[in-house]
Amino acid sequence: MPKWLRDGEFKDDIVLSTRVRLARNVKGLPYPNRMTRQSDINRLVGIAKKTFVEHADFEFIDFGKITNIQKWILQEKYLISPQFARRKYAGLILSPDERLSIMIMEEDHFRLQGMMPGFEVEKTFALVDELDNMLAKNADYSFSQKLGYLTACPTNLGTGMRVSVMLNLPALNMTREIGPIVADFESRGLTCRGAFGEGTSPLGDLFQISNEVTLGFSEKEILKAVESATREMIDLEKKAQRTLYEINGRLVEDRIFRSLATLKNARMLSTKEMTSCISYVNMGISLGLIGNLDHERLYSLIIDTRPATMAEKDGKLLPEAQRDERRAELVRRALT
Amino acid sequence: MYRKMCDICGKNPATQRVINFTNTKKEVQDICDDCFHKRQQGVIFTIIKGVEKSAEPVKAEIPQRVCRVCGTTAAGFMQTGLVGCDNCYVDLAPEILQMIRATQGQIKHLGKTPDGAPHAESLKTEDFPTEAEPITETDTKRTVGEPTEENLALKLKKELEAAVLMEDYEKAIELRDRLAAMTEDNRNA
Ligand SMILES: [Zn+2]
Ligand SMILES: [Zn+2]
Repeated sequence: MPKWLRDGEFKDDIVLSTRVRLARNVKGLPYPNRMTRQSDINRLVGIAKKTFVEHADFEFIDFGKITNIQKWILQEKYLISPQFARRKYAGLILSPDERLSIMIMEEDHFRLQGMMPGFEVEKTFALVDELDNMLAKNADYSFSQKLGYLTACPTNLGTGMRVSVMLNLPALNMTREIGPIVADFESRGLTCRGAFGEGTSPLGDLFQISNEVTLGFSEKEILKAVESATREMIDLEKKAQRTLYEINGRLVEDRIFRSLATLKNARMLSTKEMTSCISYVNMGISLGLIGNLDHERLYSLIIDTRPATMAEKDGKLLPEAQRDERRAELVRRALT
Repeated sequence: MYRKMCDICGKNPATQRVINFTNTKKEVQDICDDCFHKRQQGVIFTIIKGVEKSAEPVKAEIPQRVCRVCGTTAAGFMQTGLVGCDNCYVDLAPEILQMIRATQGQIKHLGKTPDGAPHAESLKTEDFPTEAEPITETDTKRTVGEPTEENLALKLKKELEAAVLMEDYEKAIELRDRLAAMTEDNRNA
């Protein structure tokens, strides 16, 4: 189980996690896409290490020294972006509970990230805000009164903040109601996309709501906008679940219990099938049809059974055909 | 050319697309500068976008602007969406302004500021154009045109060198392929 997921408080059966990212750059240095001098990179690493390793108990992971599989694992745990997983220099600063991390030399000099289980927009922001205050003591930020924090991509200007909430929306996805809702969100400065794999076609029923606009609003306004949109989405999903159940109770029950049986008994499980089964089981919990199965255990399966994370456990990366077998085994063991 | 009139007063041409939303409803309006300033109050979240005026984009020359500090060109920025340094915000301001107008809220930072004394502004407020600047016809006309092909190739070559230097081979391969495709296009043309 990824460390950041431990001891989560899940107030609903819909939201898996909350993430807040801040983009920050140091004045006078070229941004990563234009940086060519090793000494500049060393300076950034030095600032981050001084702030978080010397003066706090964070750890520095040197991307020049760890393997590709190790980077891939960090990506699977949602600690770094897919682009950052390909970096061969600089690195990552990580808090002991892995809820806080700083990517050095992603698209910007620093990307500060906070990640928490469940729906915790305010708390997650408070943690990252504190990280930012710490770093600001040692880093002279690129900043303008008019444009706010300067970033490599102007779509991150201003607050430099991206708030994302990951949700499980099986009923809205099944009834195809999700489409118009997504379009409506987009017209409101928010995005809602399939969450698995960032950018590829949605896998299962996991979606991510985040703010599109970063300039022209305060952090508080943005947090509130994402929070109220998420709340709206939770209500819509719950309503869709109840409607589905009222109209076709037997079919819904069948689907839910079949999914549970699959997770508990399958001998081969693809990520796609597993994710979809987890989301129906989750719906079963939400509708009160399945008891005593905790979200923490269910959600952690999504990460624990991804290829590189399994490889960490097994000591080697399994060929694709064997992965489904190994995944089924891990899921079975976790649920019985 | 078709020019949309203001949705509120109907008298002036629309210059801004405003999308307002409150907790209960949302509305999309193309409005003029006057009406825009009049109705800024009482809105929770507003997105301002340029109003599309022309159905067919016309090929036009991309300005040959370049950042004096890092060498990022206007064409390069328009292709990657990335700027290379703080000074780009001064030297490539017209292109950046266009992108901000299409994606952001108002051009006014309302969030946190770095605390403490050492943080002087790295970009002076007056260095960046104001939000009042109206959308001109050239804004909508600007698309990638032929005259910049050479610049682009040069920029890609530079980026390729940098990528190799940084050992970002995946990016290097991507850039090499793009360069190859460009040469191919020229031959076919
Ligand atoms: Zn008007
Ligand atoms: Zn520059």
